[in-house]
Amino acid sequence: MKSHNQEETEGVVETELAKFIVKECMTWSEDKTMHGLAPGARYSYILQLAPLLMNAEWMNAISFRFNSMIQSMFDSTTIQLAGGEPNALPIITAINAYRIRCGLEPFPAFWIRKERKNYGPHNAIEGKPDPDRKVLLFYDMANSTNTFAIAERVCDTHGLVIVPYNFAILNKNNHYQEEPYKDKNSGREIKSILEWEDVKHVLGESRLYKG
Amino acid sequence: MYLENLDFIKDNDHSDALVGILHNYIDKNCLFRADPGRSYDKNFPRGKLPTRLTGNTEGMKYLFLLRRLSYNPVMTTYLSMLWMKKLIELFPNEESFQLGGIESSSIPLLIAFQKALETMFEIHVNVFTVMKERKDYGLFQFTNGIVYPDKPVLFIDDMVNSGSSFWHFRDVCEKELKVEVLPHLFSIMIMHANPPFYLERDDQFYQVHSIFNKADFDYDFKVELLTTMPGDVNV
Repeated sequence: MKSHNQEETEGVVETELAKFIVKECMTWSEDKTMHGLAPGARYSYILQLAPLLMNAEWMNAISFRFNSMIQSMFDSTTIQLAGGEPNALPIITAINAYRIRCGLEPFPAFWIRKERKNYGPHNAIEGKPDPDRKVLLFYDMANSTNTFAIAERVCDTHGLVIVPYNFAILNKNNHYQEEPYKDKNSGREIKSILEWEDVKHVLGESRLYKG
Repeated sequence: MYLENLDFIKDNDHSDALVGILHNYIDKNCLFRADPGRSYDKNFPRGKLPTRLTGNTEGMKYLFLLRRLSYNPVMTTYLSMLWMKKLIELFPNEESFQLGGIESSSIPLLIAFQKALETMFEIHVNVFTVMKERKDYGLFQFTNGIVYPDKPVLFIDDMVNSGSSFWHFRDVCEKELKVEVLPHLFSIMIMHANPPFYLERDDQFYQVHSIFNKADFDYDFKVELLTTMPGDVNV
């Protein structure tokens, strides 16, 4: 059940968050000079959420919203948080710092490496997963969902059970907000603080954005 | 405001207890001691961890796995409290600085420290990280986060060994970003045993303020201090 406080801030937070993302996290190139990872790929804009992830005030707001979202979904004593390096690191740290500040028990957490370490213990996971808790995956952005697929595979190989939802700050996949978005690989529903529609709404007046 | 904070910290100083808790946690969870009776590699003597595990060509008796501490929210809160005390002692009048580190080991430390400063003293500090290598697409940038060139940066890392991470950070900050690096850096552990600790290059000295140093731990294998390595199967 939503608190009175949450109902009041809903919508306002999304709009302000979308404005922050457009202002601080998007870099434009009108003539598509920015190279992508794929050979020959060129982009008119690059979206990197790092400025948001390093912003303490916004991470407080996101932590508050995340805690409200999961309150009715899970028993917090049965889950642990995980995500991929490096972008899930600030999110999960901020959520746990927020929980400590509110007098709530922090979640156990671990991180999944993009590739196994090529020296030392050659581990795919950093930190200590709790085998008795289900894993809740949290990323900054749900885009191709490939990152979720990698994380799910690593959890499977370590015998860790994942909850039926994956979380992200921004779901960049286009879909109608009324319909839950499901990951094509695992069928898990992706729950996000912000939808790409919210950002597009702010971008509507931008001369650069062409859809 | 800073000086008031210093008084508050002195009146509520639990540093010894916090250091004790952190020491116990590292001893039990983050320090892997090689079993002297076990062969870890056919080319290495028993009880020595081979080069592929430690990076040391002669083999080592132990290995620190400090990320277990970095990723523990309670431990990073305690760590932040110790660093906060040191920060306010070092810079009693300085409020305009930012925090920086190297991806990705320092991210949880930076965020936890930033949150602690904000929660306890309402001090808002900017945080950014420097990548080990320039990004190979998009903006080809070296950093993540917003960098303010007019604010000096305090470097934070989990472990200081040769200092290579710090020198990389300093070079990127001074040559690429034109940001001043403060002559102090904070770490959890330094792999040297005789304080005070300095990193020196071209007559520039940077003092390392580390919670622990090499002499603070016992490296002999003990069954009661058995720590597992991640994926510890056929090491």
